[in-house]
Amino acid sequence: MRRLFRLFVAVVAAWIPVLALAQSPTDSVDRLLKLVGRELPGRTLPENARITAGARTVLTGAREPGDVATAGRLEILGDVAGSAYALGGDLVVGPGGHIRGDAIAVGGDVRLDGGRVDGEIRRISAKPAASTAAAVEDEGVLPAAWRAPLAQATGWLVMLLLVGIGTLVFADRYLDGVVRELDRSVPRAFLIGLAGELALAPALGLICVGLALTLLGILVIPFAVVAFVLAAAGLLTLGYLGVASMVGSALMRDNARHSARGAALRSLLVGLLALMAFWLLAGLVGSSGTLLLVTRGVAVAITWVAATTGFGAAIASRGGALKRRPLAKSPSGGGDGGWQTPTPVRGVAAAQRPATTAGSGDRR
Amino acid sequence: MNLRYVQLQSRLANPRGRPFGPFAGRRRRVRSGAAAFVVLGGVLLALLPSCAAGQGWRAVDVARTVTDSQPVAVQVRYGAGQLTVRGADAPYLYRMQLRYDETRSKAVNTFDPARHLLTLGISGDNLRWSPGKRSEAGEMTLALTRAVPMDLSLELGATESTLDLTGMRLRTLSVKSGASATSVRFDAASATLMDRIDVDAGAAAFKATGLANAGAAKIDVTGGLGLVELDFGGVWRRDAELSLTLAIGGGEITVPGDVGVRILSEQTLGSRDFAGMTQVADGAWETPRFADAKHKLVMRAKTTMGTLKLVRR
Repeated sequence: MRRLFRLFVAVVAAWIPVLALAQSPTDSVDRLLKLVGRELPGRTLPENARITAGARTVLTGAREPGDVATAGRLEILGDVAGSAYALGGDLVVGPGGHIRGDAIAVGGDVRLDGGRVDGEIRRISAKPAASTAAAVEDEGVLPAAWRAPLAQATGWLVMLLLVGIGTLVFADRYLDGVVRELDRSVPRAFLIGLAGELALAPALGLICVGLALTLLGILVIPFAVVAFVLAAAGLLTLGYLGVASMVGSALMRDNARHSARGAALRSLLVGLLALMAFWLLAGLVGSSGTLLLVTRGVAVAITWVAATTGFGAAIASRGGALKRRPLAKSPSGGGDGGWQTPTPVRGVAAAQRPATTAGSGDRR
Repeated sequence: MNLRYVQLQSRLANPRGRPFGPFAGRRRRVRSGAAAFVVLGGVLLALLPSCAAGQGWRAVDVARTVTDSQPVAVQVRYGAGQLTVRGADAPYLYRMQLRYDETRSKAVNTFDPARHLLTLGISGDNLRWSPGKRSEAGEMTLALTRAVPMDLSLELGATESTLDLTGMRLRTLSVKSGASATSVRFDAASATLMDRIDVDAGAAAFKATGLANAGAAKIDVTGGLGLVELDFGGVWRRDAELSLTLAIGGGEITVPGDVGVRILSEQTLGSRDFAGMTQVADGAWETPRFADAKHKLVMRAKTTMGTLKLVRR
């Protein structure tokens, strides 16, 4: 349990700097310049040393040979050969003022009061742009195009972890059933899952047709479709969590030292991290390039195989509800004493059931 | 004595009158299991959008001033969201205010001074089909100069577009739209007469008002699934030709009462309503005293499964 806690702390600690930087924008000149750089990538920005502080005016008749930048209000009445930057203030191009490059105001407005701008006029907001869906851009250390996939992968990981914990608490025996099915044969579960995925749409179609044939059942079709989708999604999730548990328990070999619940939680966490590792990696490698393609491809493949296998195991075990007798152990290893009862039940000698062959899976 | 022994004993005793038999326990388990999966699936599907909504919204406000009086070609491409186009005050050539999701698309604003070609909008979004984007769509407000002649071309996806082209010196207008609702207005007579208007409305609704104010000699409209409404109100300064091709959608053409209208109609499986007009030949209708009308509209209409209606007022 202590190792599990340490692992969890390490994962959280790794994200703290990113989250902290994403939440602490300051209205510094650097930050405002960074906004310009982000909006106009590739542009050579004015050096900090050449940025004046406070309001500045280029007087009538004056000629600036290059860019003009100030941290505050900027008024142009003369001639600027380069671009003009007002960082945190308005940029006013007054009568006779002429900017031969671009006019850029960050956190302010660009006003043409009789002046001329040959290039582009750009107003850059110093505040994040909110969407109608209330999504907000942030100012993290990573580019937004990188952060979005990373945030998505992290979101999925957290969500699956929460669902997994909920399953462990409220439906652990179903998860156990799926894991037992996976222990029985992973290739078999994969094939069943594949067949199940292919059969989903036809099965739904058959259900709808069947209901439609009964005429009265037509009214139930929408509910049946929703229930079918929910059940399929539930089976898929349960199966995926089962695969994660199996992978986790395979990776963590010293589970015997922990309590049953602790070991299960530990296996689930480690398994989910292992299955989601390539998604997290894909979120870190950028928004384009071969590396992204490869990592995303691997992540998709791993996810699909895991989901299909889990789905198959969930189907084969009737959603984990089906109890199979544990695989027989070698006579030297002793039998499973859990089924010993003082009196015979259903005609089987209770003292020790005869060992079955591996994988026979006769049902109780 | 282990727990399972106790459970077995209690089942055999059946103290609560639950279903009895060799499969009763399994049935109960399967039933409660099914309920658990439905809940699990529901939780997953409910949480899905929050994880999928990885967006980075960005605002762009960019403009440029008019440098000469040469005609300018303006190409606008906008995938999903609300688009508003209107006239710009001097000395602006254009001003574009755009809010978009930078994880999905990129803002485009380029001006080629040699070719006088201005390209605006966003790139990267799917223009033809954007399922589920309406609720999280961006916005684009574009002001275009009234000072120089312009060829305006718009390629729109799943947008709600309002184009107020009043007072612009348009020479040509081309609108290609996917699943959008587009409204075009010419509220006052333009300073220059337009050469032509081309509209390709896919599965979209298209509405144009004050078309006479535009003064276009040729208007070509192709409609797919949506309703096409063309109002030829305004100041008539020259005759016009309208070519209208409608697939499944309907078309409603409104023309002032003093304008002579001739309709050459080819129709398959559709219906037509040309009230007040006289059929002069097979597939040809005319308003009374068409030849004497000061201004004329000649309409060639091809409709398939669509309805076509002419309203005179």
